[in-house]
Amino acid sequence: MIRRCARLVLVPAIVMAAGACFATRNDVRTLQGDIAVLRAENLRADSVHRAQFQQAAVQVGAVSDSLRSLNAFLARFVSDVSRFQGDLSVTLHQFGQQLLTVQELAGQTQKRIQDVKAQFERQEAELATAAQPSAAPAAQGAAGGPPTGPAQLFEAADAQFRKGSYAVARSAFEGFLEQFSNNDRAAEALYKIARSYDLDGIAISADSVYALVVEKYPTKAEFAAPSLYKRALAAKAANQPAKAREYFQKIIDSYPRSLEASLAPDALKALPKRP
Amino acid sequence: MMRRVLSLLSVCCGLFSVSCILSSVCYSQDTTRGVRIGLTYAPGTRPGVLIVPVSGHNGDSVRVMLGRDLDFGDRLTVIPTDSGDAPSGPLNYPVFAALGAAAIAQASVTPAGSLHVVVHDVGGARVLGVIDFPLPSPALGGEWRFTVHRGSDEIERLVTGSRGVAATRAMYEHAGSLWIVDSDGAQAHPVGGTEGGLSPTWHPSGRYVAYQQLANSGHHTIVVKDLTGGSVARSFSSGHTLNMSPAFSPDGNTLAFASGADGTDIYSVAPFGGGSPTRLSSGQGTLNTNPTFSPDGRQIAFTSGRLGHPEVYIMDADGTNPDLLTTTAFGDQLYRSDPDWSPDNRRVAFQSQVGGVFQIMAISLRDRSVQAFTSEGRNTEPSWAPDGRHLLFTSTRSGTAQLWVLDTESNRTRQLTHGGARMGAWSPRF
Repeated sequence: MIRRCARLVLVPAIVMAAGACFATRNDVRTLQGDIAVLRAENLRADSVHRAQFQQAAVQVGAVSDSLRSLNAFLARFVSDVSRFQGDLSVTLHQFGQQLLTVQELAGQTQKRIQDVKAQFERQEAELATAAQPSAAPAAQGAAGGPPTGPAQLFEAADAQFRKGSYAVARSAFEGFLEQFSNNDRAAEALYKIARSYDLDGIAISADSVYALVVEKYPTKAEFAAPSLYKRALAAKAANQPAKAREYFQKIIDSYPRSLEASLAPDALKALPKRP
Repeated sequence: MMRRVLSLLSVCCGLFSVSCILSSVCYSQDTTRGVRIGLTYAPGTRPGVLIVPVSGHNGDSVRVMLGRDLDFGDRLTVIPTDSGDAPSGPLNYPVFAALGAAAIAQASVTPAGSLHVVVHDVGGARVLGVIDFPLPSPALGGEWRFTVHRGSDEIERLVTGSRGVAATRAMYEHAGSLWIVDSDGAQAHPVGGTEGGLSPTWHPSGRYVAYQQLANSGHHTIVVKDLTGGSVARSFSSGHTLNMSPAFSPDGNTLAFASGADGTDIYSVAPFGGGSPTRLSSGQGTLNTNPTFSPDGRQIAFTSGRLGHPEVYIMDADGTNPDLLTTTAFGDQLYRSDPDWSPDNRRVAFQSQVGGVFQIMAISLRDRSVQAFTSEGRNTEPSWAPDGRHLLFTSTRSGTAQLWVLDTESNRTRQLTHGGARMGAWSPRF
């Protein structure tokens, strides 16, 4: 009985399940339609993507071309700038050379200094002649002198000194001192004569002129102190420590606020001890 | 005879055509790249020199080195040609003249191992001079290369009247030690026993160097080292903890350096004899550093902060007559330092701040005019070459601090080191 009941239940169940596995023709058509729609959508999507890719590629190409163009422009620009810099450098260099030549030729040589000096002397003579009836105005003119005379001569000499033309500068400073021995800058002129010998390596002459500076202008500390210091070093080099000691000590005593006074103590210590 | 003439003509024609092709290739490269750094000199200011193929062992290397040296010298234009066989027999000057050559360098390595160079004057159709240098072994080694550099310098002297600077070296600081490199950037190597070394300077003989060395005690001392034996010739200080920036006088008998604790002064000392250092400057608490001697040894340029900001001064070599050299009438920052006096006594190079960045400049000793040489990157520590024309300096223009060489006539630059370098010092001629 139980077995019969089970058969009655199982057989319809199996039939129902087997029926579900078989699609009808309608189902197949529907499925085919769905597949066709899906394929069409995919194709459409592919073509859209392809179009997008193509557009992107075109844009990339355009950007690349722009970059190439920009690069070429920059390259040309850099080239132009380099060339301009180079040309400018050469022009400036040539200009500098020409300027130096002009300076050499146009007034900073010994001849020019002598010309200035001669011109000044002529003017002075003319002034003296014009003022001959009265002695007092002549003296006044000589004392006052042309306003640019001594300064002009000094500057011309100093320019040569700064340029390193020491022999020319020396000659010009000597001319200055011949004309204006009482000028305010006479001490400086004498000191620079000494330095010009020094920088030319003519030690004996330098020392003698430094001695003259100390002797003639002891109150001009800015020239007397370094002159003494130079003399002390010269004495040390000549193996005369006693003399060197004397000069160093004099700097400390007489010109305590000078630059050389701050160097002198060390220099004293470095001298050999007294016997 | 006829066959010989024909063969000579064909060789010359071949040379000419190859040269044309080479020059057109070079031109097309230039135009496609679009960038050409440097100057195009007017004809006559930079004569053309043609180095014909070099016969003998390592002839190609010799030829490349000669060409590079002459190019780096900036006084000659090296005319490119192919690398065929070395010409034999008399040279056909008109053909070389047509190629733009004012001079021809005809080199060979002899079987005995010497470098033999004949320099021809093309215009005058004559031999300018003959150079012979025995090449040391091993071939292509450091000394061998240096001998070839000497040959380059002699070629330059024969053609231009000025000896080149190919046979020179530069010393610099890299990775905590001192290094040496040849003027063409080759043969870079460390100098043993220079750990902690800074601010090197060459003795005029090229045999010794002096530098500042940081000892384990934290004190900086000045060391004079013999490069031939590697030994330390002398080590000293002024008694202060800081001793730096040494400089030899041109006769090599005096060494100036900066020393101090609170502020520094310039001292001088006999580098090989006895005696203690003598103070030259009186900075009174300010920084006084970087001494450099004039070529006659009678004056010293140095950096001083006595005005409240660093400027370059000149004083007599005994310390008297200090005078401001760099006026404040140029640049936008009050900072000028690291002077180096040119060997021709015409200029003092220095570094100056422009817009907060250091640049290399030089001031004329004749009229005090200032010329700026650099504008790209940070450029510091100028050092003159023995020819007074080229400058060595440290620059960050490539991204890292490296040594660069500048031709002050044309503003042409080239990078000398590639592994990091600073504090370069150009050697004298060896």
